[in-house]
Amino acid sequence: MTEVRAENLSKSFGDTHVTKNLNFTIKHQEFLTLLGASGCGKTTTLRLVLGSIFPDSGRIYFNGEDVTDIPCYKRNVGIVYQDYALFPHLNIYENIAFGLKVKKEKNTESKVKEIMETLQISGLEERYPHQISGGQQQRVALARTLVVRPKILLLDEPLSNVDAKLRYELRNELKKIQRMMKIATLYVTHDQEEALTISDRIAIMNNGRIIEVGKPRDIYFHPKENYTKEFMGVISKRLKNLEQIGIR
Amino acid sequence: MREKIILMLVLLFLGVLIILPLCVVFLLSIVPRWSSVFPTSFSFEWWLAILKPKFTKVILNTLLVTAVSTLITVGYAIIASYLFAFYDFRGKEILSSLILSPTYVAGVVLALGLLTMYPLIRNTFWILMLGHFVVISPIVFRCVLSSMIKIPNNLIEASYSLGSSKANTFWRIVLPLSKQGILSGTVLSIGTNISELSVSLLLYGAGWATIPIQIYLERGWGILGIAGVLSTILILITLTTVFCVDYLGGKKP
Repeated sequence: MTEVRAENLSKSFGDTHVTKNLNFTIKHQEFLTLLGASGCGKTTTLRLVLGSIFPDSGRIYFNGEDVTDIPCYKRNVGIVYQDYALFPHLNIYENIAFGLKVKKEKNTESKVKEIMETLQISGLEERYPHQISGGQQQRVALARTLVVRPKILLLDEPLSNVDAKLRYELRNELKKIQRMMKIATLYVTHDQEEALTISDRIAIMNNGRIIEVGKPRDIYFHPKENYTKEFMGVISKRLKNLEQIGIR
Repeated sequence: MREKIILMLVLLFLGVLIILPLCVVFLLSIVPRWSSVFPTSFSFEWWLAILKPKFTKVILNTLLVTAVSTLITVGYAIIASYLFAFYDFRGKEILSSLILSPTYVAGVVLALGLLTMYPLIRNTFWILMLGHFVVISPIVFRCVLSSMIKIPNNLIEASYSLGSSKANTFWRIVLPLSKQGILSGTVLSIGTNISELSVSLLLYGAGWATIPIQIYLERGWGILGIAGVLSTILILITLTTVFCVDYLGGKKP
């Protein structure tokens, strides 16, 4: 059970301000999506929470505890990337067991077995990442992260590399797994439809700022800001029956 | 058909230029006196002559210099590449061209500079090492860096996020994934260390001659037989090490 609170996070690379005074909260077990066009600073925000980069100013709290200066490898935050980032020189078992071995945890074998069963990837233990399908790779990446019981799960456009049909299935599955694991999740995407169907809440980002935060329904039907209207408007032309795609 | 003929011609050309001289070098080592166009008799007297302490010292010197220099060079290349591939710092570009610059400067020039700068270690093993390091490390650095730079940053971050420290990530992720570059860097290092002449010729002190230096000296004195034997040994050592390292690297998952 973790709640994440970000206060006035700012980060610049050289002269470009990538994020400016970001404030947001990820509640217990909540699925929060950062939605915005590419280059709006959403991935930078994700990396700030991950701890692979540090903010120039502002603080990050996990359950009220200040973790701003804690490096990535001590933060216990899980991440699944767009390209899954599986270790190519390790087989699937070794990939999933990596975090457990690092932490010298007991019962590595049974824990790996359990998570592989949960994610329905049993039997792939001896294979190498390049020998399995994209969908399987994603599950392995999820298993590798979830097996160490991270406080928060970060998802960096994990569905953008799979084809449309599979994307729909994986999207539902992601949501199911997140529910099952009861884990606070920060999801980054530029796909409006994806955000509307998977999130508990959506934070619209533009130019390094969070424009508006709200439930998918409110973001879509009652946007407060002009930018949100504009950005979400792109899909209303495309999708005639929104109920059909399962807007939340 | 025409392609085949061209290919044959190219191979023949390469053969005459590379393989044949190597064969002649071996021939040189088993011909006692080579005065006519074709050798008239064969013997192993040069090979027996090489057993004198003077020459065995030369061979041992070469092996020692190559082994120590390769260890230092490859170690340095791994650390430098790691810093260049995964960290950003001010002046990175300039430093990288500085590190690579000895590749483009004549070895003798560098040797002259080193000789003047480090009079205290003149005529010792260490100045020879230093010279080898200066000319060979840039090549090995470039080789290792090119493989490390290909490792996606996401893999490193994923490893950190799983609780793996920087040191552990280096051992478990970075090193295994740059194995190919490190191995070919090692082969390059062994090959160039063993045959280095331009720098070591100016730097070597009494008792520290290596095989290439001795070959050069013997040729100067007109004793081609000894030069032939030393050259053959040089070729054999190089081929064996390259083969061994390649064999080690061939074991992929």
